[in-house]
Amino acid sequence: MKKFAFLVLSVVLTLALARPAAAAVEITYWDTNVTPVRTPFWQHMIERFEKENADIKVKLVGIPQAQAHTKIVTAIQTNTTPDCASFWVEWLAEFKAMDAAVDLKPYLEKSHLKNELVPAAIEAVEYPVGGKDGPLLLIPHRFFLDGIWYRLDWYKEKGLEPPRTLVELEEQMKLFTDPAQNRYGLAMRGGKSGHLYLFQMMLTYAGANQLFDVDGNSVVNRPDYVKGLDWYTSLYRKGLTPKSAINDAYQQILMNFDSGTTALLIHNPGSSTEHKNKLGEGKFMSAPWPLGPKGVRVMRNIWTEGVGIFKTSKQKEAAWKWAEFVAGEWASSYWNRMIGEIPANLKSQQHDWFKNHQYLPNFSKPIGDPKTLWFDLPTYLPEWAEFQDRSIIPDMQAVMLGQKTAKEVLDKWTGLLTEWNQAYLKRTGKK
Amino acid sequence: LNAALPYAFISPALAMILVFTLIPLALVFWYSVHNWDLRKPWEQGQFVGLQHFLAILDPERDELFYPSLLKSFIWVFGSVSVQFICGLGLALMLNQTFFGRAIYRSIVLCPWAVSGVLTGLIWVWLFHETAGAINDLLDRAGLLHLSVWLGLSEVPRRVAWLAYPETAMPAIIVANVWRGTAFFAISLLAGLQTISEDVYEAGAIDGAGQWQQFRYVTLPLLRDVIVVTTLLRSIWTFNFVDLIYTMTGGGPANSTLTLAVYTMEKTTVGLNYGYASALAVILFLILLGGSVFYFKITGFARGGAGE
Repeated sequence: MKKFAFLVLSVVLTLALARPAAAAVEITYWDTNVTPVRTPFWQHMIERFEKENADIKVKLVGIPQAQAHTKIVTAIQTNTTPDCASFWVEWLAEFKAMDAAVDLKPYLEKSHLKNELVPAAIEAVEYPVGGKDGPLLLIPHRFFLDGIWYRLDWYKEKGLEPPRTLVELEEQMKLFTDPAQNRYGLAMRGGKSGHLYLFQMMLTYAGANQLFDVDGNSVVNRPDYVKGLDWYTSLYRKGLTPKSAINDAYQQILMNFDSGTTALLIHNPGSSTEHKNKLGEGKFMSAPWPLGPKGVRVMRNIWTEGVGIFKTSKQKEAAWKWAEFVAGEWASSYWNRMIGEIPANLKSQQHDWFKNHQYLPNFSKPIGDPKTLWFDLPTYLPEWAEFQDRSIIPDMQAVMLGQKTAKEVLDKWTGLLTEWNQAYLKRTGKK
Repeated sequence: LNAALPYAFISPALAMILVFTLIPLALVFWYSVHNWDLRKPWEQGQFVGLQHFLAILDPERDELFYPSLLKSFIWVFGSVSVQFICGLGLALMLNQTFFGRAIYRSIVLCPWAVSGVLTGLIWVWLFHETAGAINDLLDRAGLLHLSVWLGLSEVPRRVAWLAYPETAMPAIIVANVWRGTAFFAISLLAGLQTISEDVYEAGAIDGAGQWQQFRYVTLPLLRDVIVVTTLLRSIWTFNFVDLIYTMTGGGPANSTLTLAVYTMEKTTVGLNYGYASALAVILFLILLGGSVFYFKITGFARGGAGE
C-alpha cells in the first residue's frame, strides 16, 4: 500500500511539474554565424527573453558562417527550416524567389518597434527584394559599414596619422612593408567576400557610384573604374600585402592583422573583440573609409543582419516576439555593446556606451557626410550570388596575379551584368 | 523449392539499392533535362532537352567546363600515380619480416582514417606562408632559395604554397597523396600476402634475382589487385571534393577547380540543380566510359575472375 501511495504521489508530482513546460511553445532559432564569442551573448539574451515571455522557449542552434547559406537553402528545399534564423541581407532576394520567408511588415506596423529602427537599415533590407514596395524579410538589430583598422602602436612609433586618402594608404603600406621581417602594409582580402572591398576601393578611386546607366545597361567597364581596379590589385602585385592575400578570407585577414603581420586591415567594427583579445587594448584603432583622388569616398550601403521567420513555422507569433525582442532597445544595445557593432535601434544608439565608444564613431562617420557616395551591388539579380563567388573573385585573383587585365575582366562583367539586368527589368515589368 | 524465395531474400537489398541509388540517379538524369534553378522559380520544371549539355560543351557559354575537366585529369593522374608508387613501395617494405612490423602497419594506415576535411585543414596550416611548418623547415635548412628557383619571387622568401596557380595544384596533390598512399599500401600488402612463397622459391631456383622476382612474379600476380585499386582510387579521386574545397575552394583564379568541385559549386552556390545535374551526368559518363576502357586495356575480369 505504501508503495502504491508513493507511486501515485510521484505521478502526480511529475504531472504537476511537467505542466508549465508542456504549455510553453518552443521555437527553434538558428544563429547563422556561430562563434565561441557570440554564443554566450545569445544565451544571455535568450535567458532574459524567456523570463519576460514565460510561455516561449527558444532553442538555439548554431551554424558556422561558411555553411550557413547551404544549410538554409537545403532546409528550405526539404521543408525542414527552423522557426526563425538570423538572416543576412544578401540572402533575401533568394528567399523571396523561393517564397521561403514571412513578410514582417504587417507585424512591424503593429509593433512598438515601428519608429525605433534606423531607416537606412530598413532600406537596406528592402532594397534586394523590390525596394519600398517589397516585403520586409528580417528585422535588423545590428548593422555596419566597412572601415579601416590600423596598428596604433606602429603608427605612433613612426609618427604617422591613419590614412585619410587612398594615396596616403598606399604610401603608408610601403613604409610598413618589410618581407624580411614578415611585415606588410595591408591584410588584403582576395578570397571569399573580397569583392566587397574591391568594389568600394575601385569606385572610391574613380569617385563615382554608378553601376548601371538609365537604360539598365552595366557601366562597370568605364575607363576610370578600370583604373580603379588596376590600382587596387596593384597593391598585391607590388608586394605590399602578404602573398597569401590572394586566397585570404575573413579568418586569414584577421589573423594577419592580429598576429602583427600587417599594419592595416580593411574590415568592419565586428572584429574589435578579436583585436582586443589578441593584440590588447591600445595597440589598434579604427579610421573611416579613406577618400579617393576625387575627394569622395564611395561606399556600399550598410550591411545588416536580423531575425527572419520562415513560412514553414507553426509558431509565427512566438517567433515574431523573439525577432521583436532581439531588435528591441535592450537586446540591440546589449548585443552591439558586447560585439562592438552599431545598434540598428535608435533608442539603443542613445545609450552612453555607444556615444562614448572609442572605435565605433569612426565607422559611422561616413553616414551623413557629404563626401560619401553610396552604392548597392545588384544583389536582386538571381545570378548575382553565384557570379560573385565563381566569376568576380577568380577574376579579381587573376588580375592580382597579372594573368588578366582589369579591362578584360570588367568588359566581361559588363556584358553579363547588362544581359541579366535587362532580363530582370523585362521580367519585373520595369521596362 | 519455391522459385520466388531467392528473390524474397534479396528484396531488402534491392529495395535499398532502389531507394538510395537508382531513384536518386534517375532523378539526376531527370533534372539534367529540365530547368531547375532555385533562384528562378518562374522557369522551374520546364523541359529543356539537351540545352544544359549544349551550354556546358560550348566554351563560349561555359568557360569553366573544359578547364575544370583538364584540372580533374591532372588531379587524378597526379594523385593516383604517386600514391600508387609510394603505396607499392610501402607494401613491399611492410611485407618483409622485421621487429615491430604490426605497429608500423597500423601507423601506415593512420592517414586513411583521417577525413578529407581534416586532412585539408592540417595541410592548409602546413603550407601556410607565415605559420606553416613546411616553410619553417625550409627556412631552418637554408632552403628558402627554393622560391627563387621555382620562379615565385626575386628574393628568397617564405612561399604561400596555396596562393600561386603554379603551386596550388601540386600542393593539394601532396596532401591527397599523404592521405591516399595508405589505401594502396594496405590493399597491395593484402595482395602480396596471397602470393605463395613457393612461387618465389621456384623463381629463385630458376636463377631470378630480386628485380626479376619483382618484375616477373610479384607484379603479374598482383595485377588484379593493382587494376581494381587504381581504378577505385581514380574514381574516388575524380569525385573527391572535400580536400580541395577546404584547402583552396577551387582557387586561386580557378586553378584547382576540378569538375567535381565545379559541379558541387553549381549546386551549393549556384543553386542551379538542372545545370549541375547535367554536369553530374557528364561526370558519370566520363567515369563509366573510363572504367570500361580501363578494364578493356588491362584485360581485367576476362576469365570471369570477379570483383
